[in-house]
Amino acid sequence: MSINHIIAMQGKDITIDCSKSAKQEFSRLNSPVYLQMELLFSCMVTKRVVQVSEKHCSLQVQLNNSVFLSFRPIRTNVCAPHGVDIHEHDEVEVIDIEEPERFIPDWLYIDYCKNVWCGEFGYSRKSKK
Amino acid sequence: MSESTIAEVHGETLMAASMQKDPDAWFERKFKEHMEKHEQSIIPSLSIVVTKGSLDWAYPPFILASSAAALGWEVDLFFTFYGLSLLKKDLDLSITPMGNTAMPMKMPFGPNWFQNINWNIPNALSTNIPGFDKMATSLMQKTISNNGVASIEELRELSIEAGVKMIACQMTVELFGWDRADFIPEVDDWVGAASFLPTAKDSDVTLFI
Repeated sequence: MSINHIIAMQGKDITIDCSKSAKQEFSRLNSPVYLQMELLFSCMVTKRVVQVSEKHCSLQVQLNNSVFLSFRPIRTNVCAPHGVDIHEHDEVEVIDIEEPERFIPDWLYIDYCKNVWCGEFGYSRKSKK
Repeated sequence: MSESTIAEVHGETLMAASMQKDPDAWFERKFKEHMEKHEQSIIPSLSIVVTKGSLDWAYPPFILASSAAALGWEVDLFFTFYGLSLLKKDLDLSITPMGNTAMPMKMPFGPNWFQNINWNIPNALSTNIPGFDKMATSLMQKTISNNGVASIEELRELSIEAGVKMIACQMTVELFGWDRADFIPEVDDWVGAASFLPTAKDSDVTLFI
């Protein structure tokens, strides 16, 4: 089961690369996996790739038979305290950004470490590690 | 007479009656309604004068610009003096602990207790060690990357994608003997301060960084 190298999200191409461990895990999947690229506007602008439960995000594409990818740019009402899950924090209100398609990244790197889906995404090929 | 015409006439009659009964209250209500509509239609705007070109000082303007753009604001960045280097095609930004008394010197690797140590390195030592600034720069870049914080290149791309206007100071280009070809093609305009000031005057928020 392979992942398309370039996918289109809202008309914008995203180049996808996967680590060896991610590829191995993809081949073992027997239930759908929903990965999300999350862009957080706070005191800093941070990015992370996380696995989410089945969510119907407006920007979602299917990478293969069992992997779905979504993109969600958000902001918070207060600066997110370091090291806490903002989605599970009482004082942090997560607000979706209007017109999220303006922030769709150019590349995505999917990894699987210590039984957790993770990765990176970015906006210029040069800035990729 | 159609139903909508009847409703319209009925509405106007009610409005005229209300106006005659208490014209002040009627005017106040109408004025409030108009002001609310007007305020909703206004798009907030932000202008930032960007004057610094070091790695640490490059973050505030791009973070504020991209965040404001994410909120739907109109944003103009005016890059002048050392800030203009943030528009170069090849960003080679660095950082120095010299004169940066508030800059923590921490290691981006190792166990937590090691990462939490603040290495207070005396200026006399840091200035005499060749390549110290390069090391400080790479440590800062590693810390930024470890925390999933977007790089300056990415923030610049994000800002451009979000419609932030990048305005370069023409005088600085000439002053420092640079060439326009050294800069990214997304620069919207090459102007002087006199051309940028009217934009800043009309902005809701104007910052100097």
